[in-house]
Amino acid sequence: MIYQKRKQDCTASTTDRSKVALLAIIAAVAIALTVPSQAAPDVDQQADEPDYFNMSIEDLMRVNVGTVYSASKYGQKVSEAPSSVTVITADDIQKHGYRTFADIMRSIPGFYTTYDRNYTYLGVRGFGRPGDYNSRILILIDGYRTNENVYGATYIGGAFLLDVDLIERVEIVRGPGSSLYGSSAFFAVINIITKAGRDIDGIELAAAAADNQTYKQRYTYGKQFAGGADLLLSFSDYHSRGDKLYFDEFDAAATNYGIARHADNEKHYNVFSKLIYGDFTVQGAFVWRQKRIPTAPWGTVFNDNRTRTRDKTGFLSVKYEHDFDGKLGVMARAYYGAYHYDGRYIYPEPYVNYDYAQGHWMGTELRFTKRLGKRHKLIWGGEWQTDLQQDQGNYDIYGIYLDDERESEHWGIFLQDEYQATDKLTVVAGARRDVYWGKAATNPRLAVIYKLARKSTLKLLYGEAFRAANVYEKYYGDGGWSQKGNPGLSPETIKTYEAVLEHDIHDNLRGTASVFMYEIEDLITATTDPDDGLSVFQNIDEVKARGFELGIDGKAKNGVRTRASYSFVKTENQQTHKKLGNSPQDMAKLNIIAPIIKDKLFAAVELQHVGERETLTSHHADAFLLANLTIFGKNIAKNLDASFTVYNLFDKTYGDPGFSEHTQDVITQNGRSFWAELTYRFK
Amino acid sequence: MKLKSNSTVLLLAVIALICAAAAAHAEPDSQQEYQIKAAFLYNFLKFVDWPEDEKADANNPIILAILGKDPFEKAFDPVKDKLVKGRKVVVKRLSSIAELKKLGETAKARIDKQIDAPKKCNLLFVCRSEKDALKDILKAVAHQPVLTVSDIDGFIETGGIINFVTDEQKVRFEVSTAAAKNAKLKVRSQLLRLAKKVIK
Repeated sequence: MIYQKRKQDCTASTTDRSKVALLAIIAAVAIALTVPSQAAPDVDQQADEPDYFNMSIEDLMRVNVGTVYSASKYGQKVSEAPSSVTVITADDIQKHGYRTFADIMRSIPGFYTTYDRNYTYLGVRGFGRPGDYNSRILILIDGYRTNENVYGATYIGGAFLLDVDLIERVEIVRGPGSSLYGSSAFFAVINIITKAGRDIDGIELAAAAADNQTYKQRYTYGKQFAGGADLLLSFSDYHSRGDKLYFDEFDAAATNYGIARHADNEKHYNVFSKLIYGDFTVQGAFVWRQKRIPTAPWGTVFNDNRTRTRDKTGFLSVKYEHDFDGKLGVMARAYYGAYHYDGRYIYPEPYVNYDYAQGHWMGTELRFTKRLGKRHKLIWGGEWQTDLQQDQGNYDIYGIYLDDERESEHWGIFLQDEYQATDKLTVVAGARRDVYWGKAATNPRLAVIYKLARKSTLKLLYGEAFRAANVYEKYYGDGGWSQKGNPGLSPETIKTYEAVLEHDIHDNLRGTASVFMYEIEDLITATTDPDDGLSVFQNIDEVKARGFELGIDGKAKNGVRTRASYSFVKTENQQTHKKLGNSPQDMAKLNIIAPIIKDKLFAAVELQHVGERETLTSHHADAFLLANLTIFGKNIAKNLDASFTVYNLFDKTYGDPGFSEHTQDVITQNGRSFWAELTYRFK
Repeated sequence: MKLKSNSTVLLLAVIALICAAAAAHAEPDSQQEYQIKAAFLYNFLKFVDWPEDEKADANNPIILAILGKDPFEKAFDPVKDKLVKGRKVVVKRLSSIAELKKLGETAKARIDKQIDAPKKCNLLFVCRSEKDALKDILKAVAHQPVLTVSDIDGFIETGGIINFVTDEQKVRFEVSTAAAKNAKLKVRSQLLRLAKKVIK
């Protein structure tokens, strides 16, 4: 009953907020629609369209025409992909002033993030599980699997491998991808395509400053040489002193009245290199990041900025890709990756606890694509990875509580057929068999793509996926202090059903509607063992999620780019019949980029509404509406771009749910903040 | 699915409003991919030499035929005002192979006597809709000075001259110089140099 009452109270407040949201969105739309026409009332509409007939062949070859690679592992148009797909381009990243990969993902229909001032976690369609270090979403960089082999994590905040300025395009494929990608492709597959040297064509220097003594620099060199070799080298460096933060859970004389000073400090640097020569691509990336933790997690001392985590990860990949006369496509890759984490946790003197993880892995993959007759397109291949090291440890001056050394290997084989039954009907069927830890899993996928009319496509999608428990979930225990391992964990599995309708309202404006149902079994969940009070992962939950998403994505002739979406999802734990924690029922997003002065000055508005989320104590983090504004000037002086962003424009107070290690039920996020950046190119 | 709260309805209304606004605002724009391909075709006319070129003058337009379900829409509109090698470019849309053959006959009857060969068209673009009839189409123009272009997979392997491929979201093309030779066409080196692949 109490639950019911609280529910009603917050519904009322959500309505008020929504009115504000409504007004704000209408205002933004009005601005976006009126600004360009006021700024350039006499400009011929045709002029905004690039005149391709006056372009050279070389220039024509550089124009992006929008295909998507990730959904089927080969290039195809978004409407032909057997999934619900969103594509974000370098242009969106630049004009919206996105600084981290998390910034990009927050703008994607159905996705949301949770930041605990240590790491940023990615949630999708109502799933943002406590203790999940993004292990249920597969993130690929140019096809390389970035999820490491201890936590299965790819960090999307400061510890993300790439500087987002080096991203050419991001393809977000919703739904399970295990039939092609194996483990971790549970809720979504995200493929990041990086820029090539020719996209930079010279040297690019970027310098940025933001409040709280935050500075960032980037040095990039890129060139395509006469012999055909293409090289990109880049280095970025970021450091932020961080703000003084107040936490009312610690508002007592002994804990500095809840004020943590210099405890939100962050530093990271990234190195990225890519060499393309003929059919070969060699890539290397590395990131080092240190974050001080102001929230005093796991009972550490509040306002002691020595508590911190350090993560570093990197990879080296060699890829060969060749198309034999349009008859057979071959892709082969060999890679090596490494990950290291070390955490220092300060307890009352003289206790200092050290926690670490160390992973090394290498592997290879092979993929073939072949046309069979006129109507079949086959794709098949295999992957093998050996995890040379998957170690975890925990110690202090009094002893070693965990010294777990592991190694393992896994492999998978897959086959998919895209059968074009008629001009209107395409059926995509595929399956992949994986063997992890000696356990096998087979995951099928079926997609029926039907062209209703020239401008409408209906997709009916069924997919299954799995995620093998990672070594952290299986073997992490800190000697009876907070957590213990569970080596018997089985993989969790998901079945998804989705119907997607895509309609080209105009050639440059696409509307998408999607209805989906997810059924998850054996969900690996952090629980507390009543016998010893320790946190332990168990295959207990059975969860159902049902929802829908509506969106539009388009670019008008006057240059206004609009993305808008609404998503609704109801998650339900089948045992408790309760909604999951950190699961917003609804989200609405609006992104508009409008030219103020043609080709020179752009304004980008971003509005994000995230519905309320239950916290671990069954309270909730309030729904919020966030606005970000970026003004971007291109060539304000010769070869100089400038960008200015205001995040959280209306200084909205909001927070993300905390996890079990936090005293805070809700962790307050940043208020209004600024970012200014200059980019200079030497040609 | 039941929509519980007013806020949901409100938000839906907002989305609908935005859709309407954006839809009203966005004007039809030919698909970018085919705008690009149209511009490529226009460029091909410049970099391929026809046997008739020497004799032809401003009175002989270059005929660019599109066979099948036309994906270009208005992409060729700008070509009306342009000259290639001092000649106008005329775009003809053909719905079937029969029309292609007919075009040849009428051309034969009508074309300036100064030009020897019965001309169907200078450039023939074969749309994806004609995938199944590809062999017959190529047979219909075999050994004639017609630059055949398409974006059907395996087009140049079947005997076509230029094929569009999409590579990392960008339009590229492949050329079969063997097929060009059969058609007595000369593909200039400037064009060959930019091809993703050349079959000899």
